Amino acid sequence: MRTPNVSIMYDTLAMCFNEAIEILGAGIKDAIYYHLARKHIQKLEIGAKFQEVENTLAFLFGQGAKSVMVLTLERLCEQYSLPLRLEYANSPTERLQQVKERILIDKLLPKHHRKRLDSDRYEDKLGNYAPWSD
Amino acid sequence: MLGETNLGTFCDTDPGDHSVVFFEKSEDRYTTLFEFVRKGLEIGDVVVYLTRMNEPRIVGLMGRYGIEARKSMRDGRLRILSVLFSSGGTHNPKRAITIGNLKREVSMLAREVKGRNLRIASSLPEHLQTENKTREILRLERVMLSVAGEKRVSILCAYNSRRLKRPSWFRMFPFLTTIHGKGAFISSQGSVVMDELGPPRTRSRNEHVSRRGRENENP
Repeated sequence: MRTPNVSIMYDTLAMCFNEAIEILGAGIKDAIYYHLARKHIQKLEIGAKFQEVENTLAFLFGQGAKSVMVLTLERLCEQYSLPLRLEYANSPTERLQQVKERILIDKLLPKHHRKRLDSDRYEDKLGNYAPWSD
Repeated sequence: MLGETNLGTFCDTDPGDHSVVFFEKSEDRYTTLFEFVRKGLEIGDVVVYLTRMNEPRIVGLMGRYGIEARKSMRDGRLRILSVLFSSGGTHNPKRAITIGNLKREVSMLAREVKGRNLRIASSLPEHLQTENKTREILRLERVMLSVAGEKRVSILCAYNSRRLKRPSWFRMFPFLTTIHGKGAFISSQGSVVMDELGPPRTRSRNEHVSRRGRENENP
């Protein structure tokens, strides 16, 4: 059965957020996850609780949290092949909301998920599993 | 707001700026701190380098990054201050510079350099991180914040983000970021420059006065 688009989007958002904070440095990434865990946000819940994630970032970086938001958004748009176009909204948060709506309405799939689907189809055509899979 | 291209402009600070750089590799520490020093010397600022290392070693390192440290020191434009950390009961000579008397020392320097700006590049936080002295870092940052409040002083502090590995450091992290006005984060993945750390800046009292002054001049 196909995974619902919402959960794929949340997983992708969490993945993009992880990639974005990796640029800040490994120690800082750990510090961010530590503060998220203190606010009862686990790594898997980042996509679903993104508003709280934003608040935690604002607590850690103040105005600088916007940079992390833009980096996350940049990666998310890249995954869904959408234009970043920050000028379409008043803030990165608002643009993120627009992108999320667009993904759900147009039922878009991220690049990393499409690759997984392609390899599954290849296995189906052969009638049996590909040699590299179990 | 972000990106590697902004790293060069990050070192073009204005008086009153209190900035921070988090790095992973030691080369990145010297690239930013020495760039900050070099740009200051270039535009005629007086530069103070706070460290725990001895002077000849820093002079040698600066030489590798194209800074003529000896010449600038002779001209009175560069000072390398070795700061001593108090470590319970060890020998502490009377004239040594410690975190306790650092503010007095820097304020005196700021007064001495009449008409010129003072830049302070500090690699002390990393040394304190190595020794896991969180309280000393809090003291140092408060001193730096009060110094940055003085006219014509800009400060750049350097932290090693790899050393932020314990919960005690994680808890301190929001303080370390939000006490500074600007921040750069450099890792093997890239770099991010945050032009505004901390809460949104409110208009200062002096700013208000100067604006009113300008209005009075041109009614």
